[in-house]
Formats: sequence, structure tokens, C-alpha cells
Amino acid sequence: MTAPSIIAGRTRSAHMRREAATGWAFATPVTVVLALLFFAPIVLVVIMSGSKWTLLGGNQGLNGVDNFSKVLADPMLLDSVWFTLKYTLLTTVILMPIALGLALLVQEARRWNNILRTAILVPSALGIASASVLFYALYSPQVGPINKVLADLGLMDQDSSLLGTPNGALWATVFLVVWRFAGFYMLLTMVGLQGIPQDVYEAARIDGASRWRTFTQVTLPLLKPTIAMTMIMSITGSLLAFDQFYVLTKGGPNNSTMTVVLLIYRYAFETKRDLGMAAALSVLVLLALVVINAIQLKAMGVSDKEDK
Amino acid sequence: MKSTPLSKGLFYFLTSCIAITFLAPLVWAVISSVSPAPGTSQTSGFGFGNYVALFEYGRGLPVYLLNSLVISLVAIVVTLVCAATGGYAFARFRFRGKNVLFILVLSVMMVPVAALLIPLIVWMQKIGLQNSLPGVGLVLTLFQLPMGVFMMRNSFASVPAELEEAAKLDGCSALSAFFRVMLPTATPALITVGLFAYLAAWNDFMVALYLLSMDNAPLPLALVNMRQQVMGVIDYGITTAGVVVLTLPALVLFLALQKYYVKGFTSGAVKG
Repeated sequence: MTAPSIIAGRTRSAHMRREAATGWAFATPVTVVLALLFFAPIVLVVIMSGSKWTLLGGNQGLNGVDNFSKVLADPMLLDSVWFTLKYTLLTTVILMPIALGLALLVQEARRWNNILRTAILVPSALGIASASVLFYALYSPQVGPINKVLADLGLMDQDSSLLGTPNGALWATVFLVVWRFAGFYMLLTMVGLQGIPQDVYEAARIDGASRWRTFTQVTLPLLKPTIAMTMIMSITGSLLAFDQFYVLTKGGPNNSTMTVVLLIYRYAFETKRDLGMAAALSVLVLLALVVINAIQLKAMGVSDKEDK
Repeated sequence: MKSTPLSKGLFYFLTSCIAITFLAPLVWAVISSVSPAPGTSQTSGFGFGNYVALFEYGRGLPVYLLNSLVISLVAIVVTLVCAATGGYAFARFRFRGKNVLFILVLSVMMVPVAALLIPLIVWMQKIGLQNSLPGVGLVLTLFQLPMGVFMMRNSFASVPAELEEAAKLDGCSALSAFFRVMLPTATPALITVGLFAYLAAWNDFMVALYLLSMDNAPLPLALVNMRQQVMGVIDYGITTAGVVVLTLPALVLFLALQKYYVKGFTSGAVKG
């Protein structure tokens, strides 16, 4: 190597080192937050799940898989898993077609559609907890109008609460969630619809395809990645439901609306006051969710390529 | 598409019904909060009795609002700082561990907040952030990072490299190029990221429930607690007034910045 190229090589490696250092400097804040609030709690939850660790007594040393066997032996666990799955299925099956329908309805850019879209999106500004408080008032037999309407239709007693029966509580919550999230999923679906090139529709029209045929043969297949994504979000979100049940039903009546995440809270603060058990259930939820996400991504054919 | 007057009329009727369905609960809350009802602070005639009662409820509405504001500000500022600097690092620099770090940021999406709250009760105490409003803001920040960093990275990556080169030739350091050239061009993305952080923080209930005591409660937590305070007899007047007060700032910002909210979706940054 000649002298100038060595110098050039040196300056290049010096340049690269400087670039790496600057890069790391800029990546420092995000790394600090991750290390402090993401990795540390993940390590800690695993340690806690293997320790006798009560709410008031604190850490009392490792106890192997005791917490896990206690959690798995709790009859409430199976009930809550079953209810969570039922709720997830109901929500997703109802929410997805509504989101798609709304998206098809408002996708054309017109003034009226813009107003409509905004109206449907308004609930997205509310938190799930405050939306739940609002619906708690709406469902109340004393002041809420919904009780009155249902009573007039002969569907229920005027003085009994909609949230007082297991089925009533479930449907009331599903209704709230659909109201809160329809706009959100509509927006996601609209983005997918807009990604379908116009000339595909043009070709379908030239071929003389009916509107329904165009929808089933062109729109739906091309919308598959979007539908897969919204379904994953809906399923994952519903599996982790907490706020709405904490506010509306507290898991009742008779623990009939207990979700898995609500059970974590119960273990920690109400029934067991056992952070070890709560941590064990957290670990199970964490693992289940990673597995479920991986399966869903595979099953729905969302490859890495599409994901980027 | 809608050719006949009949189908046109049907379309407008149907869509109006849909719009009303989505707006009705909030409209009801506003009306019911100023309407007279037994068992509330507004027993006869229309008026703001429930709002006066809300103002004086518990530690006082201003305290709860301020708590919500502190959590939101911390979440917005820290999210913006982390997303902007991190996004810049991922968009413009080559360094060892970059791809691994990026995947780790995105992996936050796979981990539900519900699974981290139990260890966070203990951990926040260890790092001196027990019952701390900024602490809650920081936890909420974490879950804004995947979307925020992803959006900012894409936004910076689309800025032509020549702009930055020119700044560096003019003697700008990497830091001042970042502030003077990169950040201004990425303002729309910053607004989107900030809006998402604000909505998440202002509306958060679960993280506050786990990590804060009642006398340090933000408004959503106080609101839920308000409802449970007197078992059996619930003051629905103060409850609906609380919903209105909590919703109003979020709704105003949301409507004003709707364009940026939608952008968060079109950029492909919102993912499960």
C-alpha cells in the first residue's frame, strides 16, 4: 500500500469511528429509557415470579415454581381465560366488519364524508377508562337512557341494571368497545383501501364486473394485509382488556366477566395480595402474547417484507 | 354512484344515523351534566352545580388536572426527545448494534403494559420514583417509543442528505445540523408523535392505578374513584361533569390536529 492510501484508510476509519460515536450519542436517550423501564422490569418480573413476594411483606426469597403452580391451580384462571377468549372473539367479529363497512362508506373524499369521518373518530379522543365511566352512567337504571329504552322494548326490567347479569355485562362492554374503537379501525382500513391502485378497479369495470364481484374479487384480496393487521391489533388489544371491565363490572357479577389482566390486579391488590403470583401470571400473559402474535403473523401471511 | 334521489336520500339518512350514534353519548354527557336530577348537585333547573361540586371534590379538580398535566408533559417531552434523537441515529448513522437496538425498540410493541406493571411497582420504588407523576409519564413514554422512533426515522430518512452536507460544510456540528436542519423539516412528524403521546398520557388510567396513590391521582383515576366513593348512591351529576372536563381538552386538540393523527396511520407507524 502506498503512503497516501494508508492515510486515506486511517482517516476513513477515524471518520467511521466518529460516526459510530455520534450515532450512539444520539441513540443514548432511547437506550436509557429501554434499559431502565423495559429490560429491568422484564428481568424483575421473572425474578418475582420465582419468589415469595407479598404486597406487604416484600421479597422473602426464591420459592421455585410455587407461584406458577398456585396460579395454575386457581379455578379462577381457567374461567378468566375462557371469558377473555369469548370477549376477544365477540369484539373482533363485530368490530372488523363494522370498521370495513364504515371505511367503504366514507373513503370517497367529499365534504359530507369528512364530517362523517370526524364524527366516527370523535370517540377515539376518549380514554377507555373515561369512556367506560361515561357508559357506566349511560347504563345506570337511575339516570341512563339505555335502561329505559330496553325496558320499553320489554327486554329488561326498568329497575334492574344492565350490568347485573353476566350476558348483559358482556354485551354492554362489547358495545362500549365497538363505539370507542370503530373509528380507529376504520381509519386503519381506509389507509389500506387507499393503497389499492385505481387502475385495478378500472380493469374490473372494463371486464364488466358487478360491484359485489369487484368487492369480493378485487378489494378484499388486496386488502388482506390490512385486515390481518387490524385483526391482530383487535385480538391483542381485547386479550389484554382491563380498564373497561375494571370500571364497568369489576369482573362481576359473580366473577363472570373476569379477564386475565384483571386477575393479575386481583392477585396483587385484592384477593391474594401476592405480587409473586401476580408476577407469575404476568409472565404467562407475556409468553402467551408473544406466541399468539408470532402465530398470527405467520398464519395471516404477513411476511417481514410487508411489515416494513 | 348514488344516482336516484331515493338512494341518495337513503344514504344521507343512514349516514346521519351513524354519525348521531357516535356523537350521542358525549352529547348526552354534556346535557346531563347541566340538567337537574335528584342525588346530584343540580337538583332544580339547568345550571353548573355539578361543575362547582366537581371543582371542590376530593383534593379539588385543579389538583387532579395539574397531575394529569404533569404526566402528559413528561410523556410528551421525553417521547419527543427520545424519538427525535433515536430516529436520527437510526436514519443517518452507521454504528455497531444499530439493527439490534432498532429491533429491541420495536419489540416493546410485543410486550403488554399489563405484564410490566407488577415489577414496575417494585422497580419504581428502587429507583426513587414511587408514587411519582413524572415516573408514570416515563412509563407511558416507553410504550410510545416504537411508533415514535419508527416515524421519526422514516421522516429523517426522507430528508435529502445534501441539506445536511451543506450545513456541515458551513461548519455545523452533527448536533447543530440536527437542531437547525433536521428537526425543522420533521416538524409534522414531531406533532404526530407528540399528539399520540399526549392522548395516551392524558387518558391513561391503568398505569396511574398501579403506580400512584389516590392523593396523587390524575383526573381519570380520580373520576373512576369518584364513582365508587359512595357505594349504592352514585352522584351521576359529578361523574358526567368529570367526563366532560376530562374529554374537552383531548377532544379540542384531537379535532384541531386531526390531520396529524391520520398521518400517524398513513405513515405505517401504527402497528399492533
